[in-house]
Amino acid sequence: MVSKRMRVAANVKRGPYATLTLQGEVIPSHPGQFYMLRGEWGISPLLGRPISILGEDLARSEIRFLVKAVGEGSRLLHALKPGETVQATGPLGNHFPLSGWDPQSPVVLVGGGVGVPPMAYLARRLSENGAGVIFCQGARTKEDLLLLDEIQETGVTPHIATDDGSAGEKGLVTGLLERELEYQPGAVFACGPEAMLRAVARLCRGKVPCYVSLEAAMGCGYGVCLSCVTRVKEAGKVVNQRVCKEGPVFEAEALPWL
Amino acid sequence: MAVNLAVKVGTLLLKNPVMLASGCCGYALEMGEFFDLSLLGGYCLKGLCAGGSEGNPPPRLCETPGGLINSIGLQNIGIEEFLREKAPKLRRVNSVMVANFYGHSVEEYAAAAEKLQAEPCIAALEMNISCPNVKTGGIAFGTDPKLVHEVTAACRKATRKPLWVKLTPNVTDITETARAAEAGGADALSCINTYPAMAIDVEKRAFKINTRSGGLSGPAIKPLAVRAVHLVSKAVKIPVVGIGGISTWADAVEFMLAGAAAVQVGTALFSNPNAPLEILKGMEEYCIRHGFKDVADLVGAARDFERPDCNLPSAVIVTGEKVRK
Ligand SMILES: Cc1cc2nc3c(=O)[nH]c(=O)nc-3n(C[C@H](O)[C@H](O)[C@H](O)COP(=O)(O)OP(=O)(O)OC[C@H]3O[C@@H](n4cnc5c(N)ncnc54)[C@H](O)[C@@H]3O)c2cc1C
Ligand SMILES: Cc1cc2nc3c(=O)[nH]c(=O)nc-3n(C[C@H](O)[C@H](O)[C@H](O)COP(=O)(O)O)c2cc1C
Ligand code: FES
Repeated sequence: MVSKRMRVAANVKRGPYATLTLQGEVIPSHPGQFYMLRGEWGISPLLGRPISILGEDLARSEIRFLVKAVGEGSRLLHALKPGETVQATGPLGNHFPLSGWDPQSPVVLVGGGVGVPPMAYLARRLSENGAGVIFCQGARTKEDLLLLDEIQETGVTPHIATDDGSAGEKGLVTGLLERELEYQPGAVFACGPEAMLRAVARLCRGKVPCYVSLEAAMGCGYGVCLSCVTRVKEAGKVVNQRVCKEGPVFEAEALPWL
Repeated sequence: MAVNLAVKVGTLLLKNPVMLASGCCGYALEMGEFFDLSLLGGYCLKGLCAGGSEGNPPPRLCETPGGLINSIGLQNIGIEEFLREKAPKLRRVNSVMVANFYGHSVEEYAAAAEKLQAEPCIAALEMNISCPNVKTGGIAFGTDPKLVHEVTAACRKATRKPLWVKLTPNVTDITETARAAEAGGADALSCINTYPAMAIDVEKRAFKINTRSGGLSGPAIKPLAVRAVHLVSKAVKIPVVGIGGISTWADAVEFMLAGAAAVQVGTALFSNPNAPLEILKGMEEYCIRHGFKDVADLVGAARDFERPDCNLPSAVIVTGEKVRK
C-alpha cells in the first residue's frame, strides 16, 4: 500500500453514480481490495472514503472506481473533475479468494448496490483465470442496475432481479441464488447491503463456502485506528478483527452475528 | 543554510520534533509501510495495559466539522503480547519509541510501568491519565490533581525510563494537573488528549457512536490545544510535547511557538499517512525562510502584539492569558 496524490483522468456520471478514473503510480491489486479516497477539499469531511477497486489498467497507470453519491464525502468524490487531484491510499485490505474450490464447478457472485463494483472486478479476474462465473445482481429498479456492459464484456452473463420487476426477475437477488445453489457451485461471493449478505450467508450455510465483503465506518483504512472492528470467530474464540485489514472479505461462517 | 532539527525533550534527544501520536499509528509497523520510521523524531504506541483490552463495541467513530469523535475504548493487545510479538520487530527502527500505557488503579499503572521497563527499545513511557479510576467510581485520574500526583509518583518509582504524563483537557484549570504531574516526578508533559464530545444523527434520532460520548480530535481542537500547550508550558519547568489537530507544518510551528518542545501528529495520519514527512519538510523550509539555525529556537517564541494602541494597561484586559503576569 502507498498513499499518493493521483490525478482524475475521467469522471463519468450517470445519475448518482460516477465512474472515476485515477491516474498515477498503480500498485497491482486483487478484487475485493479498496482505496481510501479524499479530494483536496479542506478539512471537512476530514477523512477519506473507502471505495472498492472496480478495475485497473497497469499499462496506462489507471485505476477505476464506481462511486454512489449518498452523503457529503461521496458527493464530493462524485463531483470531481478531470485534472483535479485525490489523495489515494491503497490498495487496502484482503481480497476474495481466486482459487480453492473444485475448478470444474462454477462460482456464484452476488452483488447489490455499491457492492456490485468489486464483484465486477472479481468476475473479470475469475473469467481471465478460466473459472466459470455466474453473476447475480439485485437492484430496486432497472435504473439502479450497475455495470451490466462491463460484466458482459468479461464474457459473464448477469442474472438480474429487481424489486419492481422493471428488469430481469421480480423479487430479491437471493431468489436467483437459491436456484443456482441447486447446481452446487464451488463457492459463493457476495458484496452489498447487510440484509442481503445475511440472506446469502443463511442460504449457503452448511452447503457451500461463502465469502462476504463487509462495510464499516473507517478512520484510517490501513489498520492503525481500530475504528472498523467487527466480531469474528478465530481459533474457538470470538475476537475483534479490523474490517480494513483482516477484511473486508470474511468467510461468512466466521461471522457469528451475520 | 543547514537547520538543526534535533530537539531535546528532557534527557531524550529526538532527531527532529515530529512524532506520531498514540492510537493513531497502531504499533507503528503499519506506518513503516508508508515511510521509513527512522526519519521521524519518534512515535507513541497505542495505549497498552496489562492483559490487553477488547475496547468498546462499534460504531466507534464519527466525523464532525473538521474533526472526529472516537470511542475505541483503548483496545490493545496487552503489554505481554506487545513485548513478545511487536517489540522485536521495532528494535531496528532508529527513532525514539514511546510506550503509551494506562491502568484502572494506581497499582495497575505502576505495574504496567514496571513491565515496560524490561524492554530496551522503549525510550520513554507516556502515561495516559484520561482513564477512569475504578476505585473512585470511574472518575478519570487526569481530572483530579491529587490523583495525578499520586499516580505519577507511583509510576516514577516503578521505572527508570523518562516518564511523560499525557494530560486530559477535560479540567477547569489544566495548569493544576500539569503542576501535579511535575511535582509527582514527570519528565515531560504530553499536551493534550482528546476533548469529550458527542454527535447525534438527527434523521435517525440516534447517537452516532455506541458509547454516546467519545473523544474529539483533529483540526477542530487545534486552537484549544494551542492554548493548553501555552498555559502548561508557562506553568511548569519540564518540557511540553504539543498535540491536537496538527496536520500541516504551520500547525506544528504554531505549537512550538506556543511553547511545545516537540509535537505529535495524530488524526492527520488517517487522511494522509505521509503528513509527518510533509510537516517536517515544511518546518525546515520555515526555519530557512525565517533564518532560524536551530528549530528549538522556535519553542515559546510567540510574541505579543507591539503597536502603540495595543499597549493598554493589563487591568483593562478582561479575558485572556496576558493579564496573568
Ligand atoms: C470496504 C468498502 C468498500 C466500499 N466500496 C464502495 C464503492 O465501491 N462505491 C461506493 O459508492 N461506496 C463504497 N463504499 C461505501 C462508501 O464508503 C460510503 O458510501 C461512503 O463512505 C459514505 O460517505 P459519505 O460522506 O458520502 O456519507 P456519510 O456522510 O458518511 O453518510 C451520509 C448518509 O449516507 C448514509 N450512508 C453511508 N454509507 C452508505 C451506503 N453505503 N449506502 C447508503 N447510504 C449510506 C449514512 O448512513 C448517512 O445517512 C464502500 C465501503 C467500504 C467499507
Ligand atoms: C482513534 C484514536 C485513538 C487514540 N488512542 C489513544 C491512546 O490509546 N492513548 C492516548 O494517550 N491517546 C490516544 N488518542 C489521542 C491522540 O493521541 C491525540 O492526543 C489526540 O487525538 C489529539 O491529537 P490529534 O488531533 O492530532 O489526533 C487517540 C486518538 C484517536 C483519534
Ligand atoms: S479503519 Fe482504521 S483500523 Fe480499520
